[in-house]
Amino acid sequence: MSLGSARSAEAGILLDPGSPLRIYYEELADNLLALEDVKPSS
Amino acid sequence: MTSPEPGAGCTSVCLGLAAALAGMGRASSVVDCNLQNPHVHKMLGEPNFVGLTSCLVGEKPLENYGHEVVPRMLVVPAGPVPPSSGAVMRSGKFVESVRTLGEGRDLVVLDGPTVEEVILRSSLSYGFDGVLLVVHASRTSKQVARDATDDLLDAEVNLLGVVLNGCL
Repeated sequence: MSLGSARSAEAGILLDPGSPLRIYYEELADNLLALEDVKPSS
Repeated sequence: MTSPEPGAGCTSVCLGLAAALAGMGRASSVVDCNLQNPHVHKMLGEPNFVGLTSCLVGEKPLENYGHEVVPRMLVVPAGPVPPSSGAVMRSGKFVESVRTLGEGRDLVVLDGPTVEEVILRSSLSYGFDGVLLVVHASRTSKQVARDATDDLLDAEVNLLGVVLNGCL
């Protein structure tokens, strides 16, 4: 039995900094970090 | 992070968000809290031998049961699911462990179960800063999305926003 990583293609895209999806997640991250309810970053 | 029903892409949004934060130089973490249908490890193609549940019955901090999938992004899988998973999640140790993990991170993203389950589990609905609702552009009907939003608001959960997934 192999325990080696068999990362899904979708995960590969999500983790890839060059993915076209990344800009949308960065926008979501910025929105979350800007919320007063969410712990502010240093 | 929660969704009205499985298949809306909750896990994808968790991973995408945490990866984006890490790429922006922030320390992020994803914790799989969906003990009924844990999916984070499957998406990453990794085993689920240890994780959140191991921490809840063990002695070590939560970060010891996760690993970095990219620099600054820690992922903690659900871990083996005990028969009494509900009781484990209700324990004060769950909230305490996640909060301790968050002390060293800019954002901890919890991959949660469906809205119905999140509302039933007060540790998930009220134990942290807020809830993001993920709906899918083609798989989630408008009525289901509306009902889920109403349910969260009726339960006085701090609904931070709604993510529309599957648009591209």
